[in-house]
Amino acid sequence: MSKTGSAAVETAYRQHLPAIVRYLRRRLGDGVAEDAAAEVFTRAVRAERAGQAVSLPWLFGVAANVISERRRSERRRLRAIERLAGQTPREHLPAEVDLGLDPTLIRALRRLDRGDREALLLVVWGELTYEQAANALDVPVGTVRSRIFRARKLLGARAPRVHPLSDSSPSTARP
Amino acid sequence: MSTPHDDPIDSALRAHADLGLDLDGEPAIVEAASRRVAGTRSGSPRVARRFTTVIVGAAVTVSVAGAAAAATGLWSPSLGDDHRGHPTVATSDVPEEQLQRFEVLRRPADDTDRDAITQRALRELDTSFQGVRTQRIRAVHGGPAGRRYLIVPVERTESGVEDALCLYTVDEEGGGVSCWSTQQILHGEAVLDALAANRDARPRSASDPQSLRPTTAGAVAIGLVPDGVETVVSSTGERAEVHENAYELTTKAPGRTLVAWLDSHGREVPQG
Repeated sequence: MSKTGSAAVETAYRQHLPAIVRYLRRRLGDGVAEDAAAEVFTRAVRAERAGQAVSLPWLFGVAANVISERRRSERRRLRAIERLAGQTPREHLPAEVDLGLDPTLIRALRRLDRGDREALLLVVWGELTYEQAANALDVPVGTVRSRIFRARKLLGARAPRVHPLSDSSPSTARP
Repeated sequence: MSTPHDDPIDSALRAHADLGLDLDGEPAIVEAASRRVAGTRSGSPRVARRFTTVIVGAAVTVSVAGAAAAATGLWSPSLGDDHRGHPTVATSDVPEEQLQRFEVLRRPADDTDRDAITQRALRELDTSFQGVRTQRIRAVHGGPAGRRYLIVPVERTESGVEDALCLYTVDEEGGGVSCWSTQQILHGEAVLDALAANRDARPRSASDPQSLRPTTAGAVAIGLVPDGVETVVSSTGERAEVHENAYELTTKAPGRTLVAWLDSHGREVPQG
């Protein structure tokens, strides 16, 4: 690796590893995230050697590929979220607090078309902009918009209990 | 640059994002991943380590026929030498999963696996290989040029890879070796960019059919794949056939090349 290239990956690595780890934890769970994150950056090192410019959206694109190669872990993670969403005790919470948890929403998420789910989760769980998500998926930004629109529409239809959350709820805070 | 608006669906999904995760676990995972990546970049088990001695030239001067070892029964080759130290010999066989995943380990050893060239190469190993599973060492010919590689299973490597499969190649300038766990191989990480390929394509001599020289300009990557993978394709389109779970891919792409796996019908085989 050239010094310039090495420095580029080093910079990307220091800057973006936490965001990649956070996204992979959300998508695959704690048990797999470390391995998956290491895989993303190992591929980054290799790709950079082949001349690839390493950026945050590009790393998220690699992360999306790593996730797609670990579908079993992804399914397991979504089922765990679905189960936890249905089990969260409410008896000790004030009546006005709505955590917004809904297992039917996650079940619907599981059943989304893979491309639609990927676009939506890059934006919502990965905290990317539409343009960044488009770069990550190597598709036009209009495609990301239409995928996300379609995904939201399907989720809304399949999980009708989803309502706008109270601003006072901690879980509604924007990242 | 547009930002996603706060759609109710987005908000609801965000509320689920961290369910079941260890709230304080992120720094530890970042740190662990960081260590692993740093290890990869600085000479981990997945990065080729080059030997510094010339071994092929010497190897081909040894009488292959005279030194061919019996391919049956227990085999006790010399490992390492007094200068490098002697790797230990395994007391265990390869794990069942490796046997199931790699046909080359299941086939009986033959004379080539244990001939003088192999024996000479094994003397180049050092004590970073612990528990060499000598009965499962196999010589494979990964490419059209008929170059020889050794697959050397070991119980562990100095860098901490357990039940590793080491791919060992030798050339005129010494050779290279890299070791991977079964899972690393299944995830497509077993690629060794061992040979710089800008040298003469001619075989050294008619008596040297197993010259390890690259055949074309460009880089030569070799690697291990599990059963069911018949062909590998690089990201720049070059293809290579798989022989006994190993391949040799000549590519003009600089640096390491990512490869996709194809089965006998040309369908992609998922990695991982």
